[in-house]
Amino acid sequence: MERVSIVNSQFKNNDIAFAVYHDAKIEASDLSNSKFSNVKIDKSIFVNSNLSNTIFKNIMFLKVKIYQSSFKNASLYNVEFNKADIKNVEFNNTSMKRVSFINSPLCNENFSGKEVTFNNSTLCHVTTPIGAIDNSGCKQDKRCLK
Amino acid sequence: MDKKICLTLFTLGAWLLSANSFATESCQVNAAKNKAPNTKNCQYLHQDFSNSYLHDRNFDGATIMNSTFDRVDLSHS
Repeated sequence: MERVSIVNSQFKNNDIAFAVYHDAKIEASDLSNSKFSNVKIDKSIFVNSNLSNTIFKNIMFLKVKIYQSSFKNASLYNVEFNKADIKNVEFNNTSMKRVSFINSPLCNENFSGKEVTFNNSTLCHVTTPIGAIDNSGCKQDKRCLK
Repeated sequence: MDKKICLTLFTLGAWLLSANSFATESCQVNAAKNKAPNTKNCQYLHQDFSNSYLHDRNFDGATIMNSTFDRVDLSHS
């Protein structure tokens, strides 16, 4: 059986609740202007996809890879990224409340939301605003450059 | 000449029907377990996928807009 796959697709303006995505592949797709609530996404991959203007509420991203994608103007509330791998993702003007990155390496992101916590996550070329809680110990630090 | 026009109109109509792939049975997402229907390149507009069994669905090239997914499982089995 194939994994759930959404490639080169339009997935806009949808309302997704109490869903589970496991081992899904979302590539070059537009998921903008959607609402995700009470959703668990694990072992999935998002590549080159648009998640802008999307609302995420009570979401768990577990072991998810997110590359070259955009959360621009998105709203994240009570969202946990755990063991996620995040590279070149846009978080510009992303509203964040109770957002945490745990054991999740990030690279090349700019954060504007203040209610974000980084725990045990390596940050490479990441900027965070004053007020963000950084427990990674290596924010904007040469030790993080790879 | 009239026959040619009729044939053209018929072909165009058939193409339009096939383009609206949700209208075809092959684009239905609900199916018995272990029977994954073809969901590639399908169009789903204003659909309610709630309580659907969506394991292993391939939505490549599909358009899914203004739809609702409540209590769905899009896992890889």
